Amino acid sequence: MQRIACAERSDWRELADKVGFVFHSNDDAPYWDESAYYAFTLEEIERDLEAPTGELDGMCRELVARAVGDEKILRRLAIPEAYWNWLAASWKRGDASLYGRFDFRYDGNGPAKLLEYNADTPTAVFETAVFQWLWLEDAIKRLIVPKKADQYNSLHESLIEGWRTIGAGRRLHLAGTIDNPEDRGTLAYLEDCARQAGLEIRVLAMADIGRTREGRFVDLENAPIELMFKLYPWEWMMRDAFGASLPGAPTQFVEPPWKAVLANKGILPLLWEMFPRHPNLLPAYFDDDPAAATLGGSYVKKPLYSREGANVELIVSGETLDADSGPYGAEGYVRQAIAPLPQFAGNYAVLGSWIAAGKPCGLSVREDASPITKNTSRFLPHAIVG
Amino acid sequence: MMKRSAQIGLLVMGTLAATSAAGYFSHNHDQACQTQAANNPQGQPPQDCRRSVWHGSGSGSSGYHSFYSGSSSAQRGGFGGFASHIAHAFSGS
Repeated sequence: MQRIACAERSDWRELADKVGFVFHSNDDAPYWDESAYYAFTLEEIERDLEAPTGELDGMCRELVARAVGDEKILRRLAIPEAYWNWLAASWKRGDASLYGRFDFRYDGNGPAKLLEYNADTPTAVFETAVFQWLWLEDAIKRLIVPKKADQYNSLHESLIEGWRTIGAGRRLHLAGTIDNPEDRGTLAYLEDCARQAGLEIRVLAMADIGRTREGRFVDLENAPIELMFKLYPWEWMMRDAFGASLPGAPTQFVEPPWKAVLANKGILPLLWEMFPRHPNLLPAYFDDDPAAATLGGSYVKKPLYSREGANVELIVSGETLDADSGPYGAEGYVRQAIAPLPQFAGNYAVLGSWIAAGKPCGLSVREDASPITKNTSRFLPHAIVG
Repeated sequence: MMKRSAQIGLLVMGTLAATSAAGYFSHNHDQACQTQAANNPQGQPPQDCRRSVWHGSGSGSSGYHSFYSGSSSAQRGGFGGFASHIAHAFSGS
C-alpha cells in the first residue's frame, strides 16, 4: 500500500458536475482529492481487505442472531424496548440488506483492524462506485496510472444486483434529508441503480412521509409506501414522532430494522466478546465495564450512536489528544483500543470496505490531517497496480 | 484479474444526468413541493421549495410535531424531526 502523488486532471470539477457529483468540495476545500492515489497489490486487496470484509459480515450476522433474542444485549445497545419484537421479526423474516461499509485501519502490513461498521446509512457510495472508477479509466488514458492498473470496485454492479433481488418490478420510495446536497446526491445515485434493476421509483423528503389513521405510511400523493429506502438513521426514526408507528406499518425498509443493531458502536465490544482476539478486531469494552480498565489510560472513546466522527475522543495516557464535537453520547460510550491510523505524506488514511448484495465489493480511502475521520475528510481514489 | 467490468460506469452517466440533484430534484421534487404548498393551510410555503413544505411552518414548539394533514387523512412531518436537533444535520456515516 502506497500513496502516490499524481497530477490532477484540470477538468475534474467539470467532469464531476456532469455526472451529478455536486458535493465534490467542502466550501473552498476539495472533498474529492485526486492529487494522489493509493496503490495496492492484488494480494493486499484479496487477502487483507476482501476476505476479512466477508468474514466480518458473517460475524455481524451471528451477533444479530444472538442480539434479537437477548434483552440484555438490546438494552445494552440502548435500543428502545418498543422496537425489540419488530427488530427480531425483521431478522427472522430475513429482510434483505442492500449495503454497508466497514472502516478499517490498514497500512499494508498485518491484518486490517475494524474501527467501526457503517451498517445503516453509509455514504460516499457514489464517489466510490462511480467517480473513482471514471477517474481510473481516465487516469489510464492520460498515463496518470499504469496501463494495467485495476480497481477493487464492483460496488455499482452489486448495488444493482441487490436492488434486483430486493424488489425488481416493485415500486420503491427513497427518502432522506434531501435539502442536504450530499444526501440528495446519494439518493439520486441509489435511485439510478434501482431504476437499472427494474424498480419504479419515487423520491421524497423524510418530513413528507404521511401516516394514515390506520398507521400506514404514504407518499405525497397518498400512495402507500410498501418498499422504502431511507437515508436516515434508525435511531432517529425510532425517536421521531412517527416512530411509534414503525412496528405496525406494512412497509419493508431498506436497510432493514435489524440493521439498527449493527449501526450501534456497542457491536465493537460485543464482537470482541464473541470473537476474542480475532485478528481483524480491536479490544473494545463498554465504557462502564470494569474490563475496560485493561485498556489503561489510552483508548478511543466513541458514543453508541455517532456519525462522521462526532463526539469521538482520542485519549492518550488519560488526556484527550483529539476530539470532535457533536450532539451524541447520551446513550453511553464504548472504549476501543487505539490503532493509530497510518500516516502517508502527513495525512491519516482510513479505508472503507464495502459490502453490497451480500458480497464484499469495493474500497474507498479517506484522508484527514487529524487522526479522527470526519465528514470533511477528503476522498482519494485507489488503484491495484501489482 | 480484473475486479470489475470497465464498461459499467457509462451506463450510470446517462441515467444520472436525468436524476442528479441538478436534474431530478430541481424539477420533480420542487414541482410536488409547489403543488402541496398551494394547498398548505398553515401559511405561505418557504421560499426554497427544495426544503419540505412543512419545515418550520408548524405552530408547535419545534415546528415538526404540528402535523399538517392537508386534504387527505394522512398526517405529515412526523419523520425528519430528529435531524433538526442534530447540529451536523447529516444522515450518512
